[in-house]
Amino acid sequence: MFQETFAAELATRIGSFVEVVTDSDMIDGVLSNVTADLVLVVNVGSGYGSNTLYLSIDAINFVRFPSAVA
Amino acid sequence: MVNLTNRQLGLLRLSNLLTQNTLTDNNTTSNTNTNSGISENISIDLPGFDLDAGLNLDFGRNDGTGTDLPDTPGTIRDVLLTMVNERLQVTTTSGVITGTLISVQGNYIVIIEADGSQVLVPINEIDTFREL
Repeated sequence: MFQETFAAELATRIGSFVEVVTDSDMIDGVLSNVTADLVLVVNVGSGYGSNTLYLSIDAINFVRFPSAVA
Repeated sequence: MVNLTNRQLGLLRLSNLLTQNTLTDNNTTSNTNTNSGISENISIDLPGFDLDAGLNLDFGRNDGTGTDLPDTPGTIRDVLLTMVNERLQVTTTSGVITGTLISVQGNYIVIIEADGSQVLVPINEIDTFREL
């Protein structure tokens, strides 16, 4: 049902709406790409500048997939 | 002085010989020649070991106070595996997640919150957790 590693599980959910929480921030957006070390989130809530945010997997505290779009 | 019969005198001599042999044996088994057999008997007082045995911590576990201690956990993951399908509160650096633990994978867990949201939490990001 679930993948063995955190990165592998996130990779199966590309295209999903996510809330990614780190020590200092919470990012809403669509999960765009996942590698072993990085997560790429397209922040659909921001109207200015780059909408794309790269996060180190190690910096993620948790990832929430809201029920309405989970 | 009490007058003793020959038979009584013989027994007394035998008794004295036995006592001397005992003391001699104690001295020969000891590495110290200055101690008498009597003092050596005192120095290896076996009841002292019984006192040590009385300090066994296992005796304190079920003392009727209702405070049984859980077994020593191995890893966080091992403990979480025993809590699958239970309600859980997990604390990370940036917040608290409350819900039902539905899966424990290699390096993360999956929690379903009350509103149906799924939360993936890397195990190494967990600060504290407890069953609700």
